[in-house]
Amino acid sequence: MLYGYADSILAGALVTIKVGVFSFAVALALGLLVANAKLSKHRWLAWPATAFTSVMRSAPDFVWLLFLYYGGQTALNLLGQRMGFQAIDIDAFAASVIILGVIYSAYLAETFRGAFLAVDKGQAESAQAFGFNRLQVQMHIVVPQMMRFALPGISNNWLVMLKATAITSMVSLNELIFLSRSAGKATGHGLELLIVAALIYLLLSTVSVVALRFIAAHYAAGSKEITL
Amino acid sequence: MNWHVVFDNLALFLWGDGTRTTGLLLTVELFITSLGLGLVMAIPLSLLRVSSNPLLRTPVWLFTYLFRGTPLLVQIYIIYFGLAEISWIRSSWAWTYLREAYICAWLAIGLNTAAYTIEILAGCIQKTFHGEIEAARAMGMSRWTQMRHIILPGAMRRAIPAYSNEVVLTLHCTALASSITLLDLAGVGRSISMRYASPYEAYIAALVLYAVFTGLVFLLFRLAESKWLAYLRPRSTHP
Amino acid sequence: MTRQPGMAAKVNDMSKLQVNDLHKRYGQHEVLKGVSLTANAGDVITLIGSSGSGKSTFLRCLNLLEQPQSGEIIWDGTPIAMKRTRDGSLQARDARQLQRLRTQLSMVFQSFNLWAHLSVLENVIAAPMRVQKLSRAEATEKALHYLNKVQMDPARFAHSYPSQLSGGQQQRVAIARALAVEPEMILLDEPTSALDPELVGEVLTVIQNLASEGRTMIMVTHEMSFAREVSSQVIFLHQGRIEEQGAPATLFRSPASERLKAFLGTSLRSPEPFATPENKPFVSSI
Repeated sequence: MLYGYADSILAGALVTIKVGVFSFAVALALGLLVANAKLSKHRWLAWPATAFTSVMRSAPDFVWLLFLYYGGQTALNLLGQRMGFQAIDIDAFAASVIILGVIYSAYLAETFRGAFLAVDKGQAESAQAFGFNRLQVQMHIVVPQMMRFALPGISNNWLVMLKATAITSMVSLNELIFLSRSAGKATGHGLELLIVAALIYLLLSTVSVVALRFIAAHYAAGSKEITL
Repeated sequence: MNWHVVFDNLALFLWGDGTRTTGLLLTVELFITSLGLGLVMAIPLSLLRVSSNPLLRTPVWLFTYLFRGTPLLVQIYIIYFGLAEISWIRSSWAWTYLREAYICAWLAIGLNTAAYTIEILAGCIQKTFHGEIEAARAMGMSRWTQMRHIILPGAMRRAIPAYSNEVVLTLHCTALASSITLLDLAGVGRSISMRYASPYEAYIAALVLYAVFTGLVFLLFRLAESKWLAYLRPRSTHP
Repeated sequence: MTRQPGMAAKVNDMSKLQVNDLHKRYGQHEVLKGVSLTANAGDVITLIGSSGSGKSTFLRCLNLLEQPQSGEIIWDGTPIAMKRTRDGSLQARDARQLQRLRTQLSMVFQSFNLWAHLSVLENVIAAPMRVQKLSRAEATEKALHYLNKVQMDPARFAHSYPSQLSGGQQQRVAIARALAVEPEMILLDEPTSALDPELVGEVLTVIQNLASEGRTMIMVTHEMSFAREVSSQVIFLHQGRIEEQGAPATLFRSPASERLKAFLGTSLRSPEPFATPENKPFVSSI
C-alpha cells in the first residue's frame, strides 16, 4: 500500500487533524477575547486589540509562522545560554498549534466582532429590564444570537485553517505534507503520494462542510433563513 | 539587534540584485500575474458555473471543488515536483516553461485564485435582482446581451467587497512561492535569516514590507468601492 | 422603612412608586427638566406628548434603563440607592435592589424585543426561571396561564418563534412575558406604535382588560381615545416638563394649557369612544 508508506501518511494525516483542531480551539478562544476587547468602551483594551488584528492580518500567515517559530527558537536559545543550560528545543507541534492559533485568532476576532454588532440592541435591553445580570444577558441572550451571525465566518475560518496547517510542513512538523514529500523523495513516486495527500485534504474539507451545515441548521432556529 | 543585515541587503528585499528580480518586486509581479490569470479564467467560467446545463456546470464545479478543497502548498508541489515525474510532460513543448519555478508558482496561485473567484462571481450572478433580468428581456435583449451588459457588470460590482478579501489573501499566498526556491519577499526573508542567523531582523523587514503593500491594496479597493459601488450608498436627505 | 440622610420628607407611605424631580441630559441637551410622579396601587397613568417631550426617556428612567443626572426614585417607600458615575449620571448602587425592582416593575417595549432565538414559551419562562429562580414546572404553569390570558393559545403557539408571529401576536406574547414575573407595576413604552393599524385593537383590548383587573400601569402612548377611556390619570409632557396633569375627562374635554390644546388639535387620533372593530368583544385574530 502506497509503497510501504501508508502508515506514515496516515500518521501524518492524524497530526494534521490534531494541529487543525487544537489551533482552531486556540483561535476561537483568543478570537472571542480579542473581539470583546475591541468592542469594549475602555480604550486601553480596544486599542491594543485593534492593533493586534490589523497587524496580524497584514502579512502572510506563512511569514508570521517563520518569524515566530525561528525567532522564538533563537530567543529560547539565548535564554538557555544566559541561564547556563543547553539549547531548549521548541516542540514543533506545540509551537505550530500556538502560533497558528494566535495568527487566526485575529481573523476570528473580526468575525466575532461583526456578529456581536449584528445582534439587535433591544434584545440585551429587554433582558436587562427583566432583571438579568450582565453575565446572564451575555450567556443566555447575546452569545446564542451572536453565534448565528458568526457561523458563516467561523465555518470559513475553519476550512482555511485546515488547509493552513500545510505551512507547518515548512518547520518540519511531521504532518501530512511533510511526510508525503519525504515518502515521495524516498520512493521516486512523489506525484502519486502528493495526490494522495491532496485527496485526504479533500476528504477532510468535505466532511467539515457537511458537519458545518448541520451545526448551522441548529443555530438557525428562530430565524427565517439558513445561510452558510 | 543587527539591522545592517537588512539595510546591506535592502536592494534584495525590494527589487533585486541586478541579474534577477527578487523581494517585493518579485512578489508584486507574481501577485499581479496570478490575479490576471485568475480573473481571465473566472469571468467566462463563472458564467458556465451558473449555467442550467449540467454538462457545462459540472466540470467547472469540479475544478473549484478540487482547488478550494486542497491546500495551495500541495497544488504548488504537484505542479512543480509532481509534473516533473511524468515523462511525456518532460519531453513536451511545455517543459521549458514548467521547469521554471516562477511559471509553476504563477500557474498554481493563478488556478487557485481562479477557483475562489469563480465561486464569488457565481454567487453574485445568482443574486442579480430578478427584476433587472425581466426588464432586459422585455426590451428584447438576447440572453448573451443580457449577460454582457446587465448581469455580469452588476455581479462584478457586487463582488468587489468579497473579491477585495480574495485579492489580499492571494497576495499573502504568493509567500508560498518561496517554498520552491523563489526569492520573493518571503524567500529573501528566509534566505537572509538563515545566512546571517538573524531571524528577527530579516522577518520583521519582510513583515513590514508585506504590511505596507497590503495597506496599499486595501486603499485601492476602498477607492474602487467608492467609485463603483457609489450607487449603493444611502442617499443623503435634503437639508 | 429605612431613612437615609438627606432624604426628602415628601415620601408618601401609601404610594407604590414615587419619583421626585428627575433630570436627564444627553450631552448638552436636557431632555428631562425636573419631572415628578406619584403612582398608587391600581393607578393607570398615561404619559402623552409630542416627540422629544421626554416621555419615553422618563419611563425608561423608572427601571433605570436610562441613567438620570439627578432625582429620586422611591419604590414601596424605600429609595433606590444611587451612586454617581464618572460622567455625572446616577447609577443604582445595590445590584440586588435593582434586580428586585426590575422584577416588580416589568416592561413592554415598542418593538416587542422578544428574544429571537427562544420560542414563545421559552420567552415567557426565561425571567421567572433565571431571575426569580422558579423551577421549570412552576414557571411553565404561570406561562401557560398568562399566555391564555393574552389570548395566545399555548397549544398553538408555545413552540413558535417570534419571527413566525404577526406584530400583534408578538406584542401580546411580550405582555404575557411581562405578566409572568407577576409584577406590582407594568411599564408600557408605546406598545402599539410599531403595529399595523388593524393589529392595534387586539393589543389595546388586552391592556384594557389588565386595567379593569386593577393592574397598576404607566403607559406612554399616542392612542388618545385609549388614554381617555382607560387611564385614571393623564400626564402631558412638553419639552421635558409636566405641562398639565389630571383626570382624563377634564384633560381631554377642557384642556387648560395652550400647548395641550394645540397638541390635541393636531394629534392624529381624535378622542372617539374606544372600541374594538365593529364594537364586538375581542376575538383573537387568525
